[in-house]
Amino acid sequence: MGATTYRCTVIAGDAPVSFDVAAQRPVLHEMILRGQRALPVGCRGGGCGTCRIEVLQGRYTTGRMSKRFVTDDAARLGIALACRTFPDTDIVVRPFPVAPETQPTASDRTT
Amino acid sequence: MAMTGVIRPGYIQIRVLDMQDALTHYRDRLGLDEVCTGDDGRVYLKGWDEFDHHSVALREADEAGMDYFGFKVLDEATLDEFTAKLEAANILVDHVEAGEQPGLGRRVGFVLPSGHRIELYSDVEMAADTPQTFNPNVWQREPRGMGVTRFDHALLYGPNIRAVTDLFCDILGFRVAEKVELGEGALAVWLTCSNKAHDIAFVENPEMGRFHHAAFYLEAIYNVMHAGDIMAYYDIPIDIGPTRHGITRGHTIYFFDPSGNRNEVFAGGYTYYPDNPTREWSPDQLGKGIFYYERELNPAFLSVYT
Repeated sequence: MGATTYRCTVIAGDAPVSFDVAAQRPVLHEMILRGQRALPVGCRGGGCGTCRIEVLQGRYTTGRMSKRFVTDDAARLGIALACRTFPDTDIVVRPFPVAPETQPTASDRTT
Repeated sequence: MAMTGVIRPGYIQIRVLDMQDALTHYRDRLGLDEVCTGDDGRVYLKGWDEFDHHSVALREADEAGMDYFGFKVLDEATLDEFTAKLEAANILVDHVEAGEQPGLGRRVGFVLPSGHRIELYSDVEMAADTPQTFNPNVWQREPRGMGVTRFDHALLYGPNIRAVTDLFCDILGFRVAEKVELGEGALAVWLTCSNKAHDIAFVENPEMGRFHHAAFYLEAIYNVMHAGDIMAYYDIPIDIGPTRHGITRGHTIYFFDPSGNRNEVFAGGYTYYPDNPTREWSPDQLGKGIFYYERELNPAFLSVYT
């Protein structure tokens, strides 16, 4: 008996890349396991923003992600970090990279 | 008595996305001892081989990263002297009252041109659980997990590293142990206030106040390899290693905490004296400087930080 898997398709580069994501496993970790590199890999912990995506189709839940990279508003619009995205159906995503910031932001406060 | 001024890194306050996951990582995997929890929920930890009350403060927050890095100075008079020197250089200082972190005395804080907050202090309580001092065993008890001995240093990313270096050297008495002139005025520096190859390091980066890693010391390369076994067993994401740095010569593994903050465990590193010349690496050799055997940077080194 096989475990439930969902199909994740990444729209990036010349051709879409698809791979299986096991239920309750993050998209990014499953991508690495399947030997794909369609999304950039960073800290794998929701903190660095490297794997930020926009989910174009499908339903999913997310774990804790740094709000520096995914604000609550952005999350409602389908922005997420792939290392914290758990598909509930087949999904289609594209990379949504973080632009470099050069000005201090509110998040630079230290207390 | 040779050591004066700033004597060592004291503490780092790190933002974590989930405190329970962070405690499993820092307490059970790295092996830091949990000292206490403050009224505001911050949790304080220390390495088993440290005498002072704590060296790591974890604060649950919406974002990962570092809040600040505190250095211990020789005594209260030295703290006053540094305060005066910072103010004379038109650097805005603020004062944090004793007890804002449990066990810690008053602190003087300021923000670097790179956007990072640094604090200086002298007064801190002795830990309840210190290394033995009479017929001392190596350990008080068998270490847990990776068994890190102490919080050792941090590498921070931000702009204006030349100005940061001038501040640390001219005002705080640090020296440049190693550096890389990255081109177009950009700088990477490894700064020391001690016999260590580095107590704090900076790499030039356009974004203010970013955190590359916090490093924890291990006695020997065997312990670094054992730490690697623990990372594999518990599926802790590894960034690079086990390998050796060209810069500082430390044997190292970089890995990530559950919030994405990068950690390092390392052993070794050469002994530095204040009369030693600065070691320099050319930018085309930065790969070998960071990863001595691989001799090339991984993409994450310059682009992944919190």
